Amino acid sequence: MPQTPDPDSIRHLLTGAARQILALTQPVFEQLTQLETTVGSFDVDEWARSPRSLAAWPHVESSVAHALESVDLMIGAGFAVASASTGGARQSAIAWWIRRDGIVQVKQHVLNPSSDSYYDFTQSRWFRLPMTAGQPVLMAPYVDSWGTDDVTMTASQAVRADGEVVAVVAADLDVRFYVDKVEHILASAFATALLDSEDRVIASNAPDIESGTRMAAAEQRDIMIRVPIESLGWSVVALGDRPGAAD
Amino acid sequence: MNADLLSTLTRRVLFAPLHGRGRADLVAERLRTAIALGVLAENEQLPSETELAAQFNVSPVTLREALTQLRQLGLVTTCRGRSWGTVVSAPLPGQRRVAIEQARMLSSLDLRDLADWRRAIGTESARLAARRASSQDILLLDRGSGNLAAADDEVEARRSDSRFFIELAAASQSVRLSSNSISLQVEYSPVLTLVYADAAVRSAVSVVLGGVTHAVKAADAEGAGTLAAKAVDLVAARAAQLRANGWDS
Repeated sequence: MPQTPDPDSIRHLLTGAARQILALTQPVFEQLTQLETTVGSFDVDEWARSPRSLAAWPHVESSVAHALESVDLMIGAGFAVASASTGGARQSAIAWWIRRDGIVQVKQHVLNPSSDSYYDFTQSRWFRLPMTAGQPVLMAPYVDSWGTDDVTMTASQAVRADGEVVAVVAADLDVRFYVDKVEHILASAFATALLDSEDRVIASNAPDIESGTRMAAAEQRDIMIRVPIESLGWSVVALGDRPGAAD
Repeated sequence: MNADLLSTLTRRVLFAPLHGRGRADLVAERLRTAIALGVLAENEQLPSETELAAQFNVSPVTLREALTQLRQLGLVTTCRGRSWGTVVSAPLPGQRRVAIEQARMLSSLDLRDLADWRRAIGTESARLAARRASSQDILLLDRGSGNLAAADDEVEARRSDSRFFIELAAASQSVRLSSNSISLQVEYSPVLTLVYADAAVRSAVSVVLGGVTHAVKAADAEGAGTLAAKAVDLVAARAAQLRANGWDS
């Protein structure tokens, strides 16, 4: 029977895993920073009034295409803005591109609130946090209804002009690819998992721990040791059996 | 670069290419349904005639004939000039009339089948959501049940109901349940529109959906599943009653 490693060794291994996991999305945030500077100080109000105009800016499209072609993990990217117009009604606009079958194309979203397929991105964390708090965000997997309609992970950060946040630049990631890579990093003799900021499992090396499960709902398992990934609000944890759990 | 205009699943369901030689009235029927169901909303601009024709896999001539039909029904208007394009102009009473027409085509077996499907998807979505929902999901579910309670008419109510169940499926993190949920809401739309004409039904269902959200929040999978089934059954029972009275109460 294999010996259970001591807590210090486990902590050491988890810390190494955390570092590798963080490194997976480093190139994504580097691309987002580059895209931020590409857009520069365009007229955000004008863009919100005439949403198609940003997608028509050739240098924006080629920069986004370049970003999508450079990083395998990125499968979609673009810009979003919500501005309070003088009329009082909030105007929102999103310019988005996706890479499908190696080809980069423009993606249209439905922005009419009366429509059944209305895409209200202003409520999503990937938009709200950078817009209101200037913080970069990496969202754990979620189903992007009306957006991609698929399970998605989104990385985003603020676009600033004259020190003020004027828009958000974001990228959608290939979740299946990401989870595969994390599972590989987590491979070890003991059960481990990558948890998001609400302790939901993003990936795990234990077959009985499904992706997406809230730890609160995982009857058989408990968190034994936790190593936080501060910049993401996530953690890498070692799991043990909950006392009294059925074999 | 190709524009990916009709990109959501709902649109894929409605705008799948017509098999065989497309006829203008088939296309018109599809577009009428889309407008009646609110997939295309008032003042929303349709894609260009060339793109729509390609999407439906019909000739531009056929497509133009279909649009003429819709124009005569007052469902769309075409502006030429600076803001060139065809825009939806569907009045709400018209949507009720179309809903009755569509509901009358459903036999009691069809109704039963749709409710079975809805119950299966809803129950499983709720149970999985209890295990997987994020705080953001729960916020959206809360808002959804609140919107149903606050809805002023059947179209708003149908929209809130649809968004709740689609969000419930999204909270389950299942892609297949989510896409099923969207197709289902489109098919069941006429029934929901007519059932929700009654404010008492809107109120009763919104209370149950509030219970679903509460159970999901508490990670109570069994409770969430049971209440989701109850919400489906409330609507199905009312639908059966309406059908017995010819749908026009």
